[in-house]
Amino acid sequence: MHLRINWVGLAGGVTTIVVVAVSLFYPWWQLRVGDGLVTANVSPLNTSFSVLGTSFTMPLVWAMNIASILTFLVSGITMIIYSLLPAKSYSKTLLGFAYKKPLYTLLVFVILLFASTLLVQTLLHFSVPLEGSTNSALPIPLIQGTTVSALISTGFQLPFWLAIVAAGLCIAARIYHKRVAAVQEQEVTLVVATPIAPLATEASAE
Amino acid sequence: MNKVRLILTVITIVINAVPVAGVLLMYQNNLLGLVVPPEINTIVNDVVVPEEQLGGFPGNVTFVDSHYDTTSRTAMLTFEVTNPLQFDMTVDSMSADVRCDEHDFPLGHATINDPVAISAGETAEIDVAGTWTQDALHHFLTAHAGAKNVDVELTEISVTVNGVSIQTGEIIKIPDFPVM
Repeated sequence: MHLRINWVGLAGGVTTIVVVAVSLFYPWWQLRVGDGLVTANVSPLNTSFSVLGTSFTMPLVWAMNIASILTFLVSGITMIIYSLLPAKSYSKTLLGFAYKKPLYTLLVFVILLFASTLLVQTLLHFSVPLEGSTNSALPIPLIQGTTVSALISTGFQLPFWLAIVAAGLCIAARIYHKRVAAVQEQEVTLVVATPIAPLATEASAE
Repeated sequence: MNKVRLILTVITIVINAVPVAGVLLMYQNNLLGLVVPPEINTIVNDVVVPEEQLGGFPGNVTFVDSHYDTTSRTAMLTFEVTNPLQFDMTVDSMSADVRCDEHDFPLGHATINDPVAISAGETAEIDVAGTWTQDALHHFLTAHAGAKNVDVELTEISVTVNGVSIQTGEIIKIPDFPVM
């Protein structure tokens, strides 16, 4: 019996780990106000803010980012182990664990991002696009009769698109598993059937 | 297979619970610190200047000097602008309408030609160029006959700093402005 590999799963697992590596340096979504006055680098794996040149992150968000990094890493590694050993009895359990994580993280990220921009728009009355640029009046209580407006630029970055690819590959690996499992069942049937043939030949010779 | 499932469940719980529990323990005496890091206090205390310290919008703008070129009908105003923030800023553009203070008569429009960079806490000079309209010259001849200087005011001031536009209804009064 030759080694069967779920190549789609292997690609998914490797891409998931690449997403972690890239996300440490680039955000999934970035918001810029003015010329570097305010920057928000948002990502489930690495979120940071910069206001007037001072960078910071929130400890609770940082802890959640660490949890997401570990989740992505474990998911990627599990997917790779499954992909190399798709015929083992526990392989479906590994696959079931690994393939959902990138998809769920992606969905939660998009939903929270959309909800946040909507909340800002409703509460603070200035628009933040999910992708693109807009000139918005900022709700800064400065001096009476003074209005402050700034160019707000937002956009999804490379790791976000890479995460979509990783999630897609992981789902494809789940679908492809059926084919791998079907081939495996055929091979098991052949292995069980093979010893019967020589016995039948021997009997007829006698 | 159940053992594998159990191991994966334990891993999931550990990788999600440990980081969050860790920061909760670290910040157990300061739960607000979980969402408000010390850097935010630094920004509030050091970067954002109190309004009293700002002294209103024109508080950081001091009129220094002015001169008038009769051939080009251009007045050059020099202002000293102080950056009260702990952050380098660039004044990309500035424009204002110039009006006669006494008669509220529109005299022209003033703008800056080039962006001006002002380092944190530093003061820089900004040259604002304004050209009198033909009506303004007629106004000087009729309403301020013989006067060399007129009190003017800058209105509808618009300043763009680091990509942020500030439009104010505040008025900057400039006494004894040379008009001839």
